Amino acid sequence: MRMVVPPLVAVLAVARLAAAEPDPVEAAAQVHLDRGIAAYQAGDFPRARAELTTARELVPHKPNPYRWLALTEVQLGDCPRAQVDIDAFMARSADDDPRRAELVRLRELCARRAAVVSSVPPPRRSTARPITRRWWFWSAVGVVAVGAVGAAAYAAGDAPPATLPGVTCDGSGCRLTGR
Amino acid sequence: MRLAVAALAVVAACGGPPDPCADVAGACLVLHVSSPTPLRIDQLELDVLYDGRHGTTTTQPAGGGTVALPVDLGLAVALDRAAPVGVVAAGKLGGAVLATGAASTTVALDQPAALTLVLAPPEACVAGALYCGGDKLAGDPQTLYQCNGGGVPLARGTCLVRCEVRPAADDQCRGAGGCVDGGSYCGGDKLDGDPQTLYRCSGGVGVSPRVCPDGCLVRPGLDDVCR
Repeated sequence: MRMVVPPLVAVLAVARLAAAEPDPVEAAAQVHLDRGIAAYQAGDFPRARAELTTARELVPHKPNPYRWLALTEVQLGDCPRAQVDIDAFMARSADDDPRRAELVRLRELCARRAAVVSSVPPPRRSTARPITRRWWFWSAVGVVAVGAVGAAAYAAGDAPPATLPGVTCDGSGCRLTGR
Repeated sequence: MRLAVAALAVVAACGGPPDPCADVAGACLVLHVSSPTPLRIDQLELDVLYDGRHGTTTTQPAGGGTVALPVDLGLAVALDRAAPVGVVAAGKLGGAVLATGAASTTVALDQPAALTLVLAPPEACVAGALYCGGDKLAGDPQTLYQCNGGGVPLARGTCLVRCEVRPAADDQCRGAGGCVDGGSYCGGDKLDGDPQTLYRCSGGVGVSPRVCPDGCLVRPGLDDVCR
């Protein structure tokens, strides 16, 4: 079987090349997308947004630029824009696209952030009582000191691994635990 | 009050990493996924072979974004007895597979188990072709996999006798031999082939292959059947 596959693949590849030349717009979009992803991973979110915006403008029908733009805009604290791009991603991706779950969580995160911001009470006038005389001041100092010692000990050893959502496998297959 | 706050802080500072299987009832395996070189992924795709079954799923950081290896996660497996569990993992970023790895172990019902997967850049396999683990794709050497161009190799099944690497053809599970003409057999039972394909025995070899979408069931003393 495998002896047959390479020539077959070659024939199919030639036929495909002959049938469809690479689309220069899509190629350019891919370049900007790759640059945007690289900038995102390097933590350069303004540059990532610029590159990904260009990619999105070149291929507005493709979902992936919207996904990366949403991730970038959350990093930039721009949840309103991120929500627009999440909606655009959802509209362009298949129902079983595994990336949808990630963006649903991102949308919920944005919604929670908005709720937190809108529920922050206005600042109260400070009293004349010095901060060192407040009941919580020395407790906070203690917590910070203990935390600093713990953090130093922690940094001296190996950092524990991050944890990913678990997986459950049963008679009907495998899926994320709790789904 | 102050004392209580300080005590809580000490406990928090000294606590170890969370146990991914802590809240799981039944058999659970802690998967520790690492890489010899720094690697960030936004998806971890898993192909799990358990108790004669096979499933594939994807997990990703809660809240999105990327995560640096190593990562831990819990794998709960519904078993009614101790059984081998094989896992192949593919670390992906932006939809591209960066690295793959595989490992297997036997999971008991009431004992904690752990499995370490070390991910390495994948070799080039031909999409759709069949390979024993370790031959152009990550996996258990005695398990047959299908090369999946865009993701984790897909397990076809553990070979009952052995997995045979064939440089000029699809790898296959070797059968034990002795098939009866006209009988139906899963590949690797009494004739050579793919464990998820049902063959008719003719002259000691499998003919008229029929792929079983939900797996092939070996039934000693009876014709094998598709599940």
